[in-house]
Amino acid sequence: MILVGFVGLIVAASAAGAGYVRNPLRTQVGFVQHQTVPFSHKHHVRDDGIDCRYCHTGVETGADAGLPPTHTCMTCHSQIWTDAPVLAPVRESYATGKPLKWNRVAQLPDYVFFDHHVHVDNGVACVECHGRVDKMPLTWRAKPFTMQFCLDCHQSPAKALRPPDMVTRMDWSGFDKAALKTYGAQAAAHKGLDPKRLTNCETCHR
Amino acid sequence: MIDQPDFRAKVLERFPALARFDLRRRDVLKCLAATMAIAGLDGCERRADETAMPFVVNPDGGPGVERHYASAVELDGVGQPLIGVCRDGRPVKLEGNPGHPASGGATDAFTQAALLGLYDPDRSQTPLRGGQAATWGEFEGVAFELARALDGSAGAGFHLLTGPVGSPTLLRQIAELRARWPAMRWHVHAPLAGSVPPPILPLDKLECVVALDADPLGPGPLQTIHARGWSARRRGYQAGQGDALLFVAEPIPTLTGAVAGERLTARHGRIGPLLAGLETELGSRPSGETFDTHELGWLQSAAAALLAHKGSAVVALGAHHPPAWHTRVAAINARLGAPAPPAYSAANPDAEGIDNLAPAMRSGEARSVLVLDSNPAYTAPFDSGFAASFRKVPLRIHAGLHADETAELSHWHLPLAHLLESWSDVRPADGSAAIVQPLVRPFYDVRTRHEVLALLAGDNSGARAIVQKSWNASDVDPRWQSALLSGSIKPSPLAGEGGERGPPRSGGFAADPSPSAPAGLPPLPQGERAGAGLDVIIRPDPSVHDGQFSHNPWLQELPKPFTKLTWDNTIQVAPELAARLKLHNEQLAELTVGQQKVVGPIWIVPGIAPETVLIHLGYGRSAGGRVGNGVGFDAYALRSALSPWHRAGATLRGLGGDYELASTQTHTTMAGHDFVRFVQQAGEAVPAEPPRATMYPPQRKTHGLAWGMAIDLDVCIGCNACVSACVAENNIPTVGKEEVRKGREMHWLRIDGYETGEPEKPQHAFQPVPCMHCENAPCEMGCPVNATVHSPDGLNLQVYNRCIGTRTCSAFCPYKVRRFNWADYNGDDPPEWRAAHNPEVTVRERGVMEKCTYCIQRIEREKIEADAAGRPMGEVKTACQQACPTNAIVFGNIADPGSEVARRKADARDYPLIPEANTRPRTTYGARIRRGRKA
Repeated sequence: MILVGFVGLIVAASAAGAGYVRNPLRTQVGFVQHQTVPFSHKHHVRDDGIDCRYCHTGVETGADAGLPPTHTCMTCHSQIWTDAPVLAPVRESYATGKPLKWNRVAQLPDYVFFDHHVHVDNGVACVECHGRVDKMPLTWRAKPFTMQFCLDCHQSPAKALRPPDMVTRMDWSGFDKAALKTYGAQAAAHKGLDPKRLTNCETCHR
Repeated sequence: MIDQPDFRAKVLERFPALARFDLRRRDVLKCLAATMAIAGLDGCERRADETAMPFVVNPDGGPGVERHYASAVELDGVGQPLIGVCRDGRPVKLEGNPGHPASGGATDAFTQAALLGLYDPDRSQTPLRGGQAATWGEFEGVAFELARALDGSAGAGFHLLTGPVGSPTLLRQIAELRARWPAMRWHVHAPLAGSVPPPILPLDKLECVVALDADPLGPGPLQTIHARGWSARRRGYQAGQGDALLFVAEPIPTLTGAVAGERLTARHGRIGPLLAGLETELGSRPSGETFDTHELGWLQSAAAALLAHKGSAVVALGAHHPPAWHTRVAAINARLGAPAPPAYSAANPDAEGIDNLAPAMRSGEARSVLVLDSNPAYTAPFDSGFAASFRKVPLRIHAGLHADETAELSHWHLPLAHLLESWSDVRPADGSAAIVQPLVRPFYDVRTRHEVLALLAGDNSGARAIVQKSWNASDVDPRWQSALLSGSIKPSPLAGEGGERGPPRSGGFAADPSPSAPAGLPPLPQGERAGAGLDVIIRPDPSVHDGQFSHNPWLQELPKPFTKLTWDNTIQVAPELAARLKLHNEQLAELTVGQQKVVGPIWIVPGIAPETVLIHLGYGRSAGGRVGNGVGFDAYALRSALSPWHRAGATLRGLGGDYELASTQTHTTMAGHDFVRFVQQAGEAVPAEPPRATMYPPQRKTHGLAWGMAIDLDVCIGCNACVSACVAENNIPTVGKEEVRKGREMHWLRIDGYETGEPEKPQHAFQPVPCMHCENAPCEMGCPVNATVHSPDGLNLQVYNRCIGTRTCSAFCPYKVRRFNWADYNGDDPPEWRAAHNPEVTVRERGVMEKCTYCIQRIEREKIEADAAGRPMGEVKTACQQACPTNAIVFGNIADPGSEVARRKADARDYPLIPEANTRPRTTYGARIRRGRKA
């Protein structure tokens, strides 16, 4: 009886732990990050129609999508909103050569090696992990970056695949779900994306 | 347990609420971990958010993208061409330059570790005046005054002291200074130069080499080019094309001796008679020496082999032997029709030696001395009296990477830029020229050596302009651009002194029969004749060289080839001498020659000649920074200007105490095992392994990929380039002497050294041991948390974030290649060292097991690039393979029969290590071949 009680205690504690592991408190899903410069993806993406890749230049060529250098901000903001007080830190950074400091929204542990360009080149849309940033006045984490979240796709990659030239599209609601599904299955088969291989430890941990 | 249906049923019966949870093993473990975390943290708050700081302007290629730049570093004035791998605007790894004949893509251990030299936090960061921080502006005033005074006196009283200079631009600048101030004097202090420049032997064409106390494969500026050539010849012999005979007679074990087919242990004093004996055997001199049977046998077979390979045979004599002997060797080689080598080395025939400087300083003739990139206060022979006379000079200026022993004696110390952050040029061993381009902006307030010399001449040009002037080039010049891309530059007909090369100098070859003047050091050692007492052999250290690398922890912790010692130098003796003097390992002993003595710990090394003691330079620094200070003893104390490499008549006396040493291998015999296997000649097979029954499940295979490695012990020279490359690539922490002593060194790749045969005539053998990636891996059976698992490609993976540190895997591993982080070895690293980390590899924390991954980051990189481009995977090279100058290590897909690794594994010499464990290792070895010719 004592043994059973002990096991019960562990299981109960574990259940509580499981609740915590997946809790937004820990995964930070939906928590708005405040920034020195209140950058609005909503404004830049939806209102201005700027493509993700204009600023996140590394996304098609390297592991890091990259936060834009101050230089990129200034390509436009040396022409428009040149006196806006909210942009003062950007101008200061450009003038002094000191980097802007952003609070990270998307973050993975150091032992996880995520590579943007292989995902993008295979057709995993930005919205799949980053959510509808075109609806975020200040950016928050849209998906829990847990191992389970990664494995969901790596176990069945077909569901996340889109035509690679459309990966930066935010709104996929107008598309026929069945057609997307068929496309994903065909793309996965064509690219030889094997869940067995994609779920190997060394795919992400090295 | 949680996965077993009946257990689950019982749990659910009692706790029905759990039914809605999908409890799996991973979840339970995760929850347990989380529970612990909650129990431990009362606040249970989120981790502090990380700040992301993007660049203001992106570096070349954008963030996280690897860029490669051709550049070079220098060792003893000889360029070592390399490709710098940069990420986020800073170098993270150095590779050999595959397009350059002096590198062929390979490097030595020093070049690999040069990366950490760049990030050395103990580097000098600002000019010092009298030891106090000053500015370059203040020094510019001093330089201006000096130049004005020298203009008045035509340079009289000014002495420039440099190390060996190979850089064409530096030579041009010095020539220009001397033209402007004809009375100035230039001295070269080359502490490791012999009496003649060492020849660059075309070892790939030489079927028979007889080395008399010469070590062409040993550590030094020519190691890479020699090892490449020698291994090419050896491989030809393996394939049945010609012979590869190597005869070595030497007083101490060297890497060349270790791979020689016939090695003769000969006392220092026997090298001369052996040379005479060789002349007798070859018929050019009447016999006058007497030899014992060992010597006679060696001489006869060496002479026979030389005569049998006329036209592709050569005799090499150690560069530290007297020039007159080299003339005799040149005569032998002329008769043998030896192919004349390009005898380039950074010898500066028009410079004086340091021996002329001390009298000038003592007499007051020297009014000002500029020491450029040299540390004579530490490396000058004891009897040169450098330090005492240097103090008499009214203006002493030192420019160097570190505020070293010489800087402490100087009025001014100027911090030099590391070559990896400089514009410069060098001459690699093949005599070509290479442009040095910076891989990163200088970290500190430093200037290049060219800028310092230009400053003296009143010229404020930047280093790039100075170098371009030497080559008559400009930024838009296609020749300059292609030089930056390829790493080597063709001489321009218009270039000044920069483009020209002095006449090739003799190195025991017929080109120049007259004995050439010694470069930097006085004529050698007739003075000290062997009499009563012991011979002392003095050599540069295989890890820290002449002491210039004593700041470098990667090199300090690199186990030395024959002793596997780290962090110390020792007084090395043969077993017989130790027995006679009743000495044991680690015992402190006093070595006395004349008035000089050193005290150091004893280490017994088979293969040292009788009555001979070996000591290494480079230790006992007093201004060696946090890393180099107080390590070892200073062997320069025994180094006489008249006889820098050998002292006779020494006495060795054991002292009472012991001194703890940190060796990574405590026994060097194979104790009846056959870890290193030998065959007699090329084409011979090792006995086939019988198939053994196994309880392991068969291997899964996917995508036709099966990674494996083959290491050919027949060409391994034990040079440590692979170990150093592995440390650089895989963020291997340095643990320090105390931890190494406890057996906690972290090297993923070690080189085991063994001696077989009689103790007086040992056969040394090296065996690099990385993780074997066993198909039937015992470690995987041992891990309770599945932290070490097998990939379908055959990789034995280590998942750090799962590891809980039970160390069971290591206990189960028959090869003992797993390393455990007993402490947070990276935790207190200075930020500079962290910047040197490879961002593709996890920095492991305390309590985690780690081991060789077959450079999985390189495999994954190629897999991702191939996947993104929709092409099949190409070749993947591991870091050790890429650095190896002899191509001993080959990695690849063994499922592809066309791959080099599959071909090596199909060879009759291929064998697994410890086959009785039946682990089916993916790393296998090629047996060593004893003879260099087919019987």
